[in-house]
Amino acid sequence: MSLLTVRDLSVQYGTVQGGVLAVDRVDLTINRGEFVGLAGESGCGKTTLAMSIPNLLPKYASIVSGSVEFEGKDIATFSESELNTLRWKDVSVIFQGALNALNPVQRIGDQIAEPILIHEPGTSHDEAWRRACELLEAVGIPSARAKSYPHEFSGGMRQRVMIAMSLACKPKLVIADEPITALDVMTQAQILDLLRELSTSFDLSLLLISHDLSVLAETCDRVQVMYAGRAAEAGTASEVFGAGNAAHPYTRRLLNSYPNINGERVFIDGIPGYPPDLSQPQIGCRFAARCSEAIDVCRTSEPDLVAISATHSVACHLAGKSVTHG
Amino acid sequence: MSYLPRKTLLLLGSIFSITTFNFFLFHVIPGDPIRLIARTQKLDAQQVAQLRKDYGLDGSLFSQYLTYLKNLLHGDLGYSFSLHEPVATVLFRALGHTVLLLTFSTLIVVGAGIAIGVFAGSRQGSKKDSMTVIGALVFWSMPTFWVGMLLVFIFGVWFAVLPISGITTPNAVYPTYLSYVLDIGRHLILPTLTLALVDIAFFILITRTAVVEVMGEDYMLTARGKGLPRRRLVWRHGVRNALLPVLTASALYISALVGGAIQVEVVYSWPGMGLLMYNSVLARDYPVLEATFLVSSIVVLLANFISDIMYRVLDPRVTVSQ
Repeated sequence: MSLLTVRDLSVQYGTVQGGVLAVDRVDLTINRGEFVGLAGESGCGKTTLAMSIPNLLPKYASIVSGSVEFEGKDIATFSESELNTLRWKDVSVIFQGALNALNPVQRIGDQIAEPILIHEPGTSHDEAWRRACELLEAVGIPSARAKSYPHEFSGGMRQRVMIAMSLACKPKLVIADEPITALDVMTQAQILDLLRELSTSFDLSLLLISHDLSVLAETCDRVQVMYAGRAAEAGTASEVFGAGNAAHPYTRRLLNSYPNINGERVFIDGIPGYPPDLSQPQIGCRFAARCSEAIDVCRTSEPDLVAISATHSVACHLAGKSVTHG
Repeated sequence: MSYLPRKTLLLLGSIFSITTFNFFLFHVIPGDPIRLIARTQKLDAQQVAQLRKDYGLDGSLFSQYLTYLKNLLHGDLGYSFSLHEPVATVLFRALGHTVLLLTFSTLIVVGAGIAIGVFAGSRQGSKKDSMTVIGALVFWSMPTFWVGMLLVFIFGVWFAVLPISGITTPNAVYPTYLSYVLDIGRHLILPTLTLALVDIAFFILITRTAVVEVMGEDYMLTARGKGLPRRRLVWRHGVRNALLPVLTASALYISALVGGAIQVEVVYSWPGMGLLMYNSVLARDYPVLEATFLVSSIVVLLANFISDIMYRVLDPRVTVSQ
């Protein structure tokens, strides 16, 4: 049985102009011990999809259809207090930009110990503090620094603190939302290594969200590419990101949008145009307007996500018919 | 220089400048206390000159200032022109009455104000929140003296259940000490209520805004993600951070309180600092005015001094160098 099964999930944001479906009928499966990556541009629904797992959506957002099954239980129907027992103990989050995700007026040791005290009643304060110190050591921070406040750390150190905190209750699933985005390249590599290493040693599943495809390709077993609230392509990392394997024109364009530092200096392709306005009803394939391969059917009917191999599926009318590159 | 000595030196410097400013301010406002006294009695020019000498109002303004400073440093606040008592006696009696009045109202205003502000702010956009804001704005818009008169009308005249003037019932005989305390208690109700009703709105609105702002911070999402019970989420993470601006507001409030208490004390004839200031201005009673303003200035400076120190305790980001 898979650890997490998201089925047909739609999440809507209520705005003044009306509802916006940020996530539209999306599936996602994570097995025990598996590292799954979620890719796509800003605003494609990656974070919304991930945050609906422990239901940390803002109050103007709501799950309008579908289910989120964690160990067989549909948590979309959970009450707030049921969710609170699931949060951090089963599913923890490494939030985007740890610069502001830590409470500025609490010692980091207390912040790490807090979920232990909440989720494991009966744990003494000393015991929780000792475990917080161990976690800090595990992420490479001397335990003496447990008494420090967040502003006394650098950005990379704060992200390490965030990682230590996410592991406090030995969760089954850790959601890492752009965990390295605000860091410099050297620190990025260190944090990523740390994340991989600890996820393996803590025997947990990881949902890694990033717009950086190389990070996902390096780290994840499977990846899912999202575009404008829909899943465009899903498969193993090599099926989606391996040379010439990508089946969706969007994935291919995305891969071409990154420079290859070993290769020749070429002009980066990028993708012309912008993602569609999701407050309007969508007709046809959402990528059609920006797709150089679009044919008539793309503009009138929306493609379903269909399997092209046992593990690889794609939502494109052209999939399997033409594999010419755009 | 380290923080506390530097801060204390600054505090003393401020008190000196304020003392100087107050002295000259009252002496240059139009009106002459001797002429006010001479108006009621028939005095010849020689007697007026003698009076002026007795009250230390002869000589140049600057020499009067030096005398004032010298006496002040010796702890001598002077002699009241209008009340014919040492200023220290008058001042401390009034101060006691004001502290009695303000202690209760401030406890209510700060305590209930913060609690209601948190209640509303943590439910931003809900019906309970908008009702709280509207209610607070209604009371905030009412002038203090007007609320005072309204309460006098309702409880003192209409229902006639509460005393509306003074601190004790005139000519009352108290068989026991308890009955004396109870009488003061009854006299305290309306002035305290007046101050609380108007000023509580200030704290509700300040706290609510601070809480609303903090609730949207990233670390609040982290706290929610940790699965904390709502109470712990709001108080430990939300209010703890929201208290910082509220603390600054509290210092401002205590500073402003002296002015607010003047209105209440005049409406209810509460013999405190506010009423004393008011009457002293009318009588051009320089020594009392200088002393009351000195005390209010010290209260304002101390409130800010304490809030500075509290801020450093509450917010680890405030560093020593600042």
